[in-house]
Amino acid sequence: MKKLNRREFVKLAGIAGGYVLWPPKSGLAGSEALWSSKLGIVGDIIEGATGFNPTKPEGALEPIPGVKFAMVIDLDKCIGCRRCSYACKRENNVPDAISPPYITVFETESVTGVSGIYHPTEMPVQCNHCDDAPCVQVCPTGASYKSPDGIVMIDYDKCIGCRYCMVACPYQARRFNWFHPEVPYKDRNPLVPMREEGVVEKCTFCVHRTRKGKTTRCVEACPNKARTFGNLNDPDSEVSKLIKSERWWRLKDELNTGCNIYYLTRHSKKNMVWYKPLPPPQNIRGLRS
Amino acid sequence: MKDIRKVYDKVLASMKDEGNSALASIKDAGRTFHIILAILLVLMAWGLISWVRIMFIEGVGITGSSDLVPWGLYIVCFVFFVGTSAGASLMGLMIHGFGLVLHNPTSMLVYTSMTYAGFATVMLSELFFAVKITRMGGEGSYWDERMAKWLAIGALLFALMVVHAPHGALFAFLKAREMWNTPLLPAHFVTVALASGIAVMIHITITTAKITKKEIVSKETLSHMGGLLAFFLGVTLFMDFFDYLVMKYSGKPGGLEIWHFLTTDFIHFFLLNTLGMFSAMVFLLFKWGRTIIGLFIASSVTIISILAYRWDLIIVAQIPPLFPGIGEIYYTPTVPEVAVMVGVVALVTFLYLVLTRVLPMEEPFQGN
Ligand code: SF4
Ligand code: SF4
Repeated sequence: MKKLNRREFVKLAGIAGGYVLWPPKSGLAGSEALWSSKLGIVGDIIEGATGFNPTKPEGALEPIPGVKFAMVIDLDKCIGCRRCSYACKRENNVPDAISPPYITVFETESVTGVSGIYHPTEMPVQCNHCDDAPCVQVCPTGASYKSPDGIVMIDYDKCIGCRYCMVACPYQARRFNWFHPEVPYKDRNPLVPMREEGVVEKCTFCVHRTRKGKTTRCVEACPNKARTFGNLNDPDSEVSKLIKSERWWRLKDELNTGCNIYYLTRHSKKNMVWYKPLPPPQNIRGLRS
Repeated sequence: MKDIRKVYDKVLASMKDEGNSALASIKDAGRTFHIILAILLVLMAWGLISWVRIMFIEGVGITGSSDLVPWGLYIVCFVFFVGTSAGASLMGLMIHGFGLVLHNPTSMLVYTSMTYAGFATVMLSELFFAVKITRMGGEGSYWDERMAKWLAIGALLFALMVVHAPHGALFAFLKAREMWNTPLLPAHFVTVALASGIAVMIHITITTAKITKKEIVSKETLSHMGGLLAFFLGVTLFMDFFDYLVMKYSGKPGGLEIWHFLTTDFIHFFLLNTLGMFSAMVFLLFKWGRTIIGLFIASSVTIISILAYRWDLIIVAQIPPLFPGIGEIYYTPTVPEVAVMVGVVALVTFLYLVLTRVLPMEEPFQGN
């Protein structure tokens, strides 16, 4: 066998490495796969690639007693890269038909009171896992329910697709499966059940990870550490410490929904000017482009 | 054409009606009646095919609804039909029909669907006694007549207090949607339900009388119903007026946004609704407005204007984005969606036409 000289070896290694980091035909866009690998998604896919796809993962999914999950998003750190959104889509087997995915990133501006200067601010929005969740109150079958650990869950088997929860949610957090959801088998996360057509879905605070003591995928994916996830009942947890800062506010707090996602900003949200959602609408149902 | 004729004759000949008065009465009803039934059957088939396409073949995605406007034409019609008490048990039957155990007794939807089932029971019992009395030549026993009377009064109260008002609450509870989240809505639902219910009753009575060439309800009764319709239209308009006034002048951003959509993109529905109801009411205040032809026009205008109102209520409420700057949200019903609704209306009309032939319901109301 002909020995490879150094240049050839480097070239081959480069191609092989390129294939690992940047697979030519995967469910992800090239650059995203690159980021994913850096963030450890590739590792996790291998970890979970057992070919086993349970519709209901057994065990390890009971709420942990005494835990109340919450998330803090520091808008001054968010750069609007949408990696959380993509990673979430991948992690939770969200089909392309569901657009936008569970996390929508808005582009906003906040203005400093004194100088009147506008600062661009990116603003990710997802299910707030409300304590007094309007969606749970209205669901006729009990498919949407509040777990003891604070996660608002949907039992896909019980959902009849009436969409009452969707009109009730003040945060437009819920998505409906208008068509049969298609996610290529090789791209599926076996730990997350595939949903059927005609049921509602949304952010689950990565219940399959967080109830096992891991953090959510969006927290892992954020390159600027804008997101923090943890136990609100534990005074020493990072989220508890962050919301002591009094820089926090919650979306539409006047509705008394009791959101469990807290936003941090330097400026008062009163001075916030919203202008458009990122990602740029890619054929979003019901939205004129 | 000849072939159709042949098939028609064959079908008629194959209908053996010895001893079956129901079949005989349909068979003898004449060709126009049969043509109408055939058209209705075609529309029902169209609706059924579209429903199968939506539910089992292509998916709910072929309707015009979206994550941004989750409720579309179905809910508009659902609210309209429940309001007029036709198809009141639709949702209840849907949920019970699929054998789903309802685990959330506090959901307004569970409550209302249970009330529809209750309402259907009361109405069926009422129908039972009414038919029984009619079958006995209009002279029922003392108890039958009492039961029929009290069940009717019970059904009325039930419809008002237990079905329609909470039906409004189904929407009024949703704090996420500015247009629905008003304590006026349950009361408004009752008056609109009464107005549309009376209008549909007048309309059906006049049309049936015209087709069967029989006087079903006396002119005085009809004129009296016209007066009632004018009253409920007036009450509804009164509430509407102040609702819109508050919406416009309280200066709340949500209210202003709704007002903006009502008076721009949805202006045709808005005008159809308000002007329609107003002109029908004014029309009915005059004596000539309560003649047969006048009542026919007024009830038709009322039905159309209330349909326009239901459209505005359901669709416009979902058009303002829940976050500023989301973009322009729209909803347009698609053909399969419309077909299902046409099919449902055809089914109800079909049942009505056939049942009024079969059940002897007209006589007791004569001149009453
Ligand atoms: S954000 Fe919406 S979907 Fe999530 S818990 Fe609150 S009401 Fe329900
Ligand atoms: S769509 Fe499903 S989760 Fe939502 S209210 Fe209806 S049954 Fe409950």
